[in-house]
This record gives sequence, structure tokens and C-alpha cells, in this order.
Amino acid sequence: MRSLADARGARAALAIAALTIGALLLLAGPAFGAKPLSKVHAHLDKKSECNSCHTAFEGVPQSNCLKCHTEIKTRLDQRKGYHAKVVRGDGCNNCHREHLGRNHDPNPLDKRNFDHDLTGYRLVGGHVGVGCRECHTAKRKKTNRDSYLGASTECRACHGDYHGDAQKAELGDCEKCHNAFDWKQLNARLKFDHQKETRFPLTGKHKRVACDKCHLGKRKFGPIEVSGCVTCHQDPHPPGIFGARICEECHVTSGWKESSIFEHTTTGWPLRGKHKKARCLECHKWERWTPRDTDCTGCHEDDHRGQFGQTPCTRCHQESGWKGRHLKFNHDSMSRFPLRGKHRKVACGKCHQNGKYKPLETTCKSCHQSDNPHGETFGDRPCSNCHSPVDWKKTRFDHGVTGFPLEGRHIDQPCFRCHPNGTETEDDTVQDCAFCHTDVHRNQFEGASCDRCHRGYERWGIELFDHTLSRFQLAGKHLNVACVDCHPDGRYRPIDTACANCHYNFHEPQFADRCDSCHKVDGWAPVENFDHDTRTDYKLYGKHRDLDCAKCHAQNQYKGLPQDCDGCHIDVHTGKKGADCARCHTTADWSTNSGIDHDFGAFRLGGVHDLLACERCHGPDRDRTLAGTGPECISCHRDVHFGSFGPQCHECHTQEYFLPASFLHYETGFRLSGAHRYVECRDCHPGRVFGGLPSDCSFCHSDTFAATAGSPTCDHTVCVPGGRQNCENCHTTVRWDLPRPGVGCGLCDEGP
Amino acid sequence: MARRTPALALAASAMALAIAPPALAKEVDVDGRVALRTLFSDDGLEITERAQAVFIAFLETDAEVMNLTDGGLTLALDGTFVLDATDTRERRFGKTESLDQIRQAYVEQPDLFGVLDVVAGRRLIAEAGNAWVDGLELRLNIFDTAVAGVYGGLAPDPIDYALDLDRQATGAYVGFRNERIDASAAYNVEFNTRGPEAYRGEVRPEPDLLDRQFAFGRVHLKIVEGLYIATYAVVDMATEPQITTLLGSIDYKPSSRVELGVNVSRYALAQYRDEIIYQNIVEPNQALILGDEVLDLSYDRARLWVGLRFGPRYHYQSIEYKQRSLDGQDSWHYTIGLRDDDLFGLGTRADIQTQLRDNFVSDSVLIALNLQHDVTSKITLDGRFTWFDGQSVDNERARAFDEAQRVLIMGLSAYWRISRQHQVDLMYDGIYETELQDARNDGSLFIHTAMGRYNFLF
Repeated sequence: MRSLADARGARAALAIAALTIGALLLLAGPAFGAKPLSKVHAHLDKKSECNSCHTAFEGVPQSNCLKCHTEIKTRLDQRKGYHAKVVRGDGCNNCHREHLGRNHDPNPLDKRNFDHDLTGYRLVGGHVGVGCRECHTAKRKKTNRDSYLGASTECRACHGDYHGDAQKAELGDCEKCHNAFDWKQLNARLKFDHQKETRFPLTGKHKRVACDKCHLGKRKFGPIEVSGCVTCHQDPHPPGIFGARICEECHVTSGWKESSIFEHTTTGWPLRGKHKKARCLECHKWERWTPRDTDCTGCHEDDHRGQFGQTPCTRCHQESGWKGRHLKFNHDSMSRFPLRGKHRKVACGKCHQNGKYKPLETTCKSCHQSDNPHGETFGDRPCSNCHSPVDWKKTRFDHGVTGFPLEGRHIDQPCFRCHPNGTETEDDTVQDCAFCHTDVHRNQFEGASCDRCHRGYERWGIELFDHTLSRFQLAGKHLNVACVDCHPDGRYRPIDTACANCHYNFHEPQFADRCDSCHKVDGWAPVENFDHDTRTDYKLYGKHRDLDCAKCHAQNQYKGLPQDCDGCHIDVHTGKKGADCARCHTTADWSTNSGIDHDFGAFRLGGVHDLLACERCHGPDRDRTLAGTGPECISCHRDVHFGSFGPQCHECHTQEYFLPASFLHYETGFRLSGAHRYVECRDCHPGRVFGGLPSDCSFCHSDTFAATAGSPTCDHTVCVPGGRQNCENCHTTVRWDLPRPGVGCGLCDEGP
Repeated sequence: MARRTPALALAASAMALAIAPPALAKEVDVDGRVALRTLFSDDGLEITERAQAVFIAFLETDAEVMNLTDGGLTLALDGTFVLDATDTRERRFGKTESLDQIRQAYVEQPDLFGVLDVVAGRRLIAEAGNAWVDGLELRLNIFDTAVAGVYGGLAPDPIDYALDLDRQATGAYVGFRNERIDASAAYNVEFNTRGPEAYRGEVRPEPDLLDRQFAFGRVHLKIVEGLYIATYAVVDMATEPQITTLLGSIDYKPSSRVELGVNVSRYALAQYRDEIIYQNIVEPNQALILGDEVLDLSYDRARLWVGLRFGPRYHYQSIEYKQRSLDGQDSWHYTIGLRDDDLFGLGTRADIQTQLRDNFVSDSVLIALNLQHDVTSKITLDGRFTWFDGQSVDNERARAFDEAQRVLIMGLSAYWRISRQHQVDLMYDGIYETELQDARNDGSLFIHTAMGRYNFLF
């Protein structure tokens, strides 16, 4: 036991020693097997300088590096710059590897993939792709190598002061106007506020002027000494034409060509009426802006060609408008011919043709010579004896002086209706109606005076004819019928007064006569006079009452129509739902919800159910809406099997035929075979109890078994082993009296 | 037959009223249908003398005659009557049940005094859990939203639906409904005064008259539009309280495209039937086997289904779990299907589905295709094809008959809507069955079944 313990101790000591040596080699490895330092640290590549970087058991701590790289230390302390974000207390040599040879560069800067965001200055827009040294131009002091520290993020640090005196103008940071994406494209939303930050707020069109339109040259954003509009705009007017007046007296920044704001009243000639809208150069000349003659003719031409001599224009015209309603001329008071009647509406030029205003004649003929239809009939008698300017066609002629005073409709007739040639009648003593009126009746009323029907002169129309004078009294809608509808071709006598004389009998031969038994003169529709409920054996209910007759009595058929619903309606169920539409539908509303609720799930009503009246399940008032909700037949039917088959009636029965149509007795475990096929169900299932019966032969055939007692052929009570329980050993289901093939009565032969 | 005479008389009178409305007041309104249905079936296999074709005709009436009087007297008949041309029923043994079924036949005078409905005849009362009575029902309508009623009379024979003077039923119910809730509750009691002779001389097991009593409750609730909850419960209390029927379903339709449903249910045989039928009524051979055993069969079931609608297409899946109390066996049933109401833009309606069943004692796969097309506006053709393959994986009470089976069902139907009053349906189904491992039969079987129906719609 002791030697074994010693052996274990020796192996443990060897293991510890091996581990210790390995650890030392691991720690001292770099010192023994390292390559030279890079060029930048070559001055430290001596054994005496190892501790400048290395510290025993700590490797190369960061603090040793920072003793020399003080600029990095400063930025780390300030938590600024790239190293402050990247370095998390790790040693510098994690990235800046050394002892990899003199030519190794310890600065692993990948300029292509460097993430500049980590420096705190994100490169965007045009800055992306710019070479590092274009911004980082600094050199290290000691080594004169490239330095990436100290680069300013100010735009001016790289881009300089482009605007020169911008500092003076206090334009602020470049980003107010510029962005890194496109230096020349100013920010869409300039942060520079010209209104507040300058002495020249921009108004009107100045707001949309590009900056460099005003700020010209390299010093363009320095303060501009504004000395009036001419600082930027050139004065287009002839020199000195406006004296000391400044541009703003006439012009505004909203538009150079906008209406001048010049106060014309200061000229002593204020602008009124349409003069306000006239453009300056319509009155003034560009090279001579001085006032013109203030008389109208100074600007306007005399259209009257001097007909009015020295009469000032303003006697008739005014500045608000030259013509029309603005005309101040009063024809009634200022001329010899006051305008009356229709003359007031005549355009001036109709009488004053070719601008001729004076001298003109005032007689009717001077204008209406060509309108005179009378020829020389009235000689020199002035027109005004009969006519007036109010209406030329309404004469003041007293027809009574002719012996034929005008009355009634004659008053309104124009003269030429009776005097077609514009002259007096050839024989003005003839006053018979027929002299002027044609006898449209073709002598049907020969001998009768016209005024028997056309009373007086008030109205020629026959409306005033008293039809009671005839054999046919007008009433109802006949009163509104035009005469010609019944008296076509002007035929008034003799006429048959039967309805069929005017109306076509659509019902012939169903109703040969007696139109008035259904129809009345108050309205042709038979409903007016026809009580469908009492005069037919088909009462109208619900929506039937609102139907047009023709809806049911199509093709004018009124007799012999079927009274079933399908006499008029198409049976969309094609008879599957039975004969009585009223089971589901009513005349009040044809729509019904039956059929929708009956297709609920795999079970939907069909077969004989379709032929049932709704009331059978849903009560006499069909208000048992939930009847039959349960899917089991027993909800409505009596279970004739007394529960021995369960509730799934449809497994055996169908809705078309309730006889068992799909029942497979085999499913019960007792397959019907042989003679069992031909016995009725109740033979084995008395009392309609079908379930739970035993399948033993003796359940039904026990009496046959017992009947063999004493039989000389085969006394079963003696010969059959197992008694009633083993009938099938000898018998088949085909024939009870024949034993199973191969079975003999050996048992009997052996005897009890 | 004598016991059916009153019902037939009632049916005949109802029919007479239904088909002769013009003789009554003009306001009489007739609704419903009368149908003559025939069935012919033959497997063409002459292996026993019993293997003969079956031809049965049914006369079905489901009609209401309303407003017989100005007071709104209504007559209703819902029944089926059998014309058995091949006398098929003679082949059965045991008690003869009747296929003649009069489910409802009643006269109703509504709105007496504005609030009371009086109904006399055979009634199936939905508010009372489909309680069945030949007698009188008084229904009080309260504020158009609530109803309360009492009923009493004879209880129809539960086996052959005949009028039975030895059985009586009475009960009461209340109901409430509006647009959001439809609820009802009821209590029903049935008595049996049948004497010992009815039990073939054996002593009737229950000395008291109470035959059955149950409480019923139903709530249909619309939480919001598209979210429905339906519950249905029957608690039988003749011997001890037991939930014999319990249904609960939540149907959710968050949008017109998505439908979800959860359904749980419990179904159990009513206890009173066990004792009456299996100990006293049924043929001795059956009683011999069962002895004093009381059937206690109940199914507990949970079903989850989802339906997704894409335009004319409807995709559905469901998974169902069942467990039965008889032997503790359970069953899984998965269905996936696609329904297209406009197949390939041809207007054909198609439904294809697959069912995978891990049934109680068998495994099976079923693939079914159904195509329906309107050939004209009056004629619709329906074709169907079903392929079924299954095999037993366990035995039933230590007894296994045929182990495997493959079934092919091919069907074709034509629905001819001659007019909206007259409809004729013709249907043929061919069932081709192959038993894979049962050598006791003579190979495959081809069963032909043809059905015809004429509907007259009022």
C-alpha cells in the first residue's frame, strides 16, 4: 500500500511541474520567439526597453502605450474621437499588433472600409469618397507622418471662407444654407431668415429672386449698400423725365408691371370711371410724359364727324362709360322726337343709320315706308290715326264705324285674318260667319246657325257646346275627351252611342257586351267598378290587391284561369316542395325563410318533409321557430323502437321512404343468412324491441328444441351435447330440418 | 281486426272529408297528401318454401282539413294502411302486430274563448315528449308565448297501435316559446288494467296498475344567430328513476361556410317493457331463455361533426363514439363526405361519403355515392351506389355467425312530378351480398326490390 501511495505522489508532482513549465513558456514565449518591432517602434527594439511596453504578468497594458501616445490618451480622457468609442479598456495591441517584423505597419487602418461614423463625424453626400488626406492634412510633429487627429468638423476648416466678408455679415454656420450632399444646392428650407437677419426684408417678387441675382461677385453675401431700386434695377425711362421722383412712387415689388400706385390726383386730373382702368401709355407717351390736353378730344376721336359742333362730349357721354346705359343723352327732352312704346326698344342705329343724327324727319313714313301694307287705301291719312307706337298691330281703329263691331275673339284677331289683302273687304255688308269661316261640318248641320254650338264670339271652340242637347250625356272621363276622339273626321251625326262604337272590346268573346258592368265612365280600369272578391270565386289578398289586372289576366284572358299559385307564378321548386305554395309563402310577402334554416349541417330537409305543411312542425301559427332545431328525429317523431336503436334514425331510414332503406343487419353482430332473410323483423323482435337480444338460435327456436323430446329420430334433449347452446353444430340457417353436411347422428348412435 | 275498426272508421271519415272539401264551406282549407305505395322484393333464390316474393301495398294519409266551420274546426289524419297482396304476414309466429298505423287522427276546435284549443281523437303530443293518447286534450294558449295543457284517455297499444280499452294515459304539460327559446315540460302516467287472461294465465308481475310514468323536458335555445342548443330528456319512473332518453346538442354556424356540432345522447330501453314483453307476452321459448333477466340496454353516445361549405360544395366530417351498457362494448364511427349541388356545372347533385366503423363486434368500411339530376323540370333521376365490406372481430354473447361480408347496393329512382298535385316515384334497389367465409349458403345473393309511389297533394 505504501509503494502505491508513493507512486501516486510522484505522478502528481510530475504533472504539476509540467503544468508550471508550460505556463512559464506561454508567458515568456513572445520574449523568446518574437520578431523585431515595426519601424515606428524600432527605437524600443532593445532588451532594455522591453518594460517600456510589457509588464510582468500583464502583457502590454494600455497605460504603457499611452505614456508615449499622449494625444490619444487626451482624447480617451475626453471621451472623444474614434478610440474613445472603439476601445473598451482593451489593450492597444489588440489592433496595433507588434513584433511582426520591421516592415509591419502596426496601424491597421483599412481606408476603404473604415467606419467614419465611429469618429463622431458621419460622412454623407459629397464627403463620401473624398480622400482621407484631403481633410486630414495634419502631420505628426515628431515623425512627420500622417496624422488623423485634430481635423476640425467646421466646414471652413476645409472649404475656407468662400464668401469673404461673410463673417462680417454674420451669416452664421455654413449649414444654414448648404448641405454635404450638394454644395451648390441650397437647403430647401433655408435656415437663413432674410427678413430678420438683414436690413432688407424681401417682399413681393423679391422673395422668389435667386440670391445671386442681387448678391453679385465673390463678396456678394457681404452687406449691400442699397441706394434705391437702381442698385439692382436699371431705370428704363428717359433720363430725368421724372425728376426727383423715386421708383417706389409708381412701382411695387409685387410686380414691375403691376398697376402703378402713382396718385394721379397730384397732377390735378384725377382718374375716374373707365379712365382708372386705362393703361398709362394709352394717354401718355414714353418719351413725353408731360400732361396732354385735358379735353376729351385730346385722346378720343369725334365719331359724330362734327354733327354736334361745339357741344361738349360730356353733355351726352360720361367717364363711367361711353355707350349704352352710361349715355346721358335724353331722347325725350333733348330731341324733337320723344320715344314712345316700342320706339324705346329700337336700337339707335335703326333710325340713325350711318351715324346720322341730324337733321332727320319725324314722320312714320320716314322709317316705316316699306312696312305699309295698305298701299294707297288710306291715302294721306296719317298712320297714327289707327296705329300707335305701343304696338303697331294693335290699332285704334273703331271697327264699329264699319257696321260690324268686333266682339269676343274677333277683338283679338289681327286685321289681316279678315282683311287678308290689307284692305277693306270687298263687301263689308256681308256679316255671315261663312264669309270668313269654312264649314268644317260639311253641311251636317245645314240650316242650323253656327252660334247654336259656337255661342257668340267668345270662343269658337266646341267646349261650350252643351252635349245634353244630344242623345249621349257626357260624364266622367268623357268630359275630358277631345271631340275628335269620338267625332273623327268631323262626323257628328248620326253616331251610335254604344261603347263599342268608340272603344275596342278587348274581351271578346269572353265578354261580348255590357262594358258598363265592369267599367265606368269615371275610369276605364275595371277595379273602379269591379269587386273581385264578390264577383269571382278568387278573393284578392295582400299584394294581389295592388296588381294590375293584366299581371294575372295576361293576353286579355279573364275566364277559365287556374286559381293555383302556379297559374301565374313559376314554381321555382319544380314541384319538389309540394302543391301548396301557401305553406311557405303568403300573398303579403312572397319571400320566406323556410329552406334556409332547414339546411343546417349535414342534415337538410327533403323527401317527404318537403311535402309537409309548415304547421306540422311549427305550430298552427308557425310561431315555433325553433321546432326541430335539434338534429335528432325524435324532436318531432315518436320513436317506434322505444329507444333500442338510438337517435340516428337516418342510418336506416331516408326522408324519401321511411322503410328501412339502408339498414344492414350485419352491423348488429347477427348477420341474417339463409331463411332468416325471409322472416319479418317482428318475428324475432316482438314488441318492437330491437336491441340487446341474444343471437343464440334457441332464443327463437327453443320450442323446436323442446319439441324433439321423445322423437325417435333425434331426441335433442338427450342426444345434443351442450343442449340449446350448440344448434349450429348440426343445423344451418338455410334449412332447419336438414343437418349440416357431414354431420351424422353418431351421437345418437352411441346412445345416452 | 275488431280492435282496429274504430280507427279505420275514423280514418275513413277523415278521408271522406279530405277528398270532398268542395262540398263544405268555401273557406275550407285542405293540406297534406294521400299516397299509394307499393313494394315488391325478391331474391330469386328458391332455397326454401319461404323464399317467395313479397308484394305489399300501403295507403298513406297525412292530411289536415282546416276551417271546417267558421270557428276553425280542423280534422287531421296521419296513418298508414296495408294491403298485403302476398299475405306475407301469415308467415310470422308469435303475436301479430299491425302494420296499419294511425299515428294521429283528431278533431280540433281552436281558439275557444280566444285562448282554448280542444282536441279529441288520437294525438301525438309533442310538448309532452310525444306522449300518445286516444282521448281529449285541452290546450290553453297564454299571451301567444306560453301554453299549458292536460290530456287524458286511452293509451294506444304500443305494439300494434290499436285502440286498447285496457290501457289509459293522462298527463299535463307546459310550454313556452319565443324567438330565442322553445321549452316544454310534461308529466305522463299510463295505467294498465288488463286482466290475467291477457297474460295467458300467468300472474301479472306488477300488482298495481301503474304501467309507465315519465317526466319530460325539452329546451331549444338560440343563443345568438347561428348558435343553437337543443336538449331533450325523458326520465322513466315506473320502477326507479332512470334517464331513458337524453339528448344534448350544440350546433354552431359562425358563418355561412362553417358549421360545427357537438352532440351527446343517452338512449335506454324503458324498464316497463322488459317485464311485460319478455316475461309474460313473448313466446315461451323466448321467455325460457331470458328467464328473469331484465334487459338493461342503454347507449351512450358522443358525436362531433363539422361542415364546410364552398359555393355549391359542402364538405362534412363526423366522428362518433358509442358505448352500450349491455356488455360494455364500445364503437367508433367516422364519416367523411362531400356534397356538390352542381357537379361539374351540370346541375347534378352529388354526395360521396366514406364511413369507417369500429363497431361493437365488427369492423367495416362503407363507400356510398349518390347522384341526382333533374332531367327535366318535372323528372328527377337518382342513382346510388354503396359498397360495404365488413368482418366480425368479436362474438356476440359467445356466438359468432357469419364472419365476413361484402355488400353492393345499386339503386335507381325516378321522381316524376306530373303536376304539382300528382307525383309518381319509382325506385329500384339491387343488393348483391357475398359472404366470404360462410359456406353454408349457396354463394352470393342478389336481392331485387322495387318500390312505387303515387302522391296526391292537396
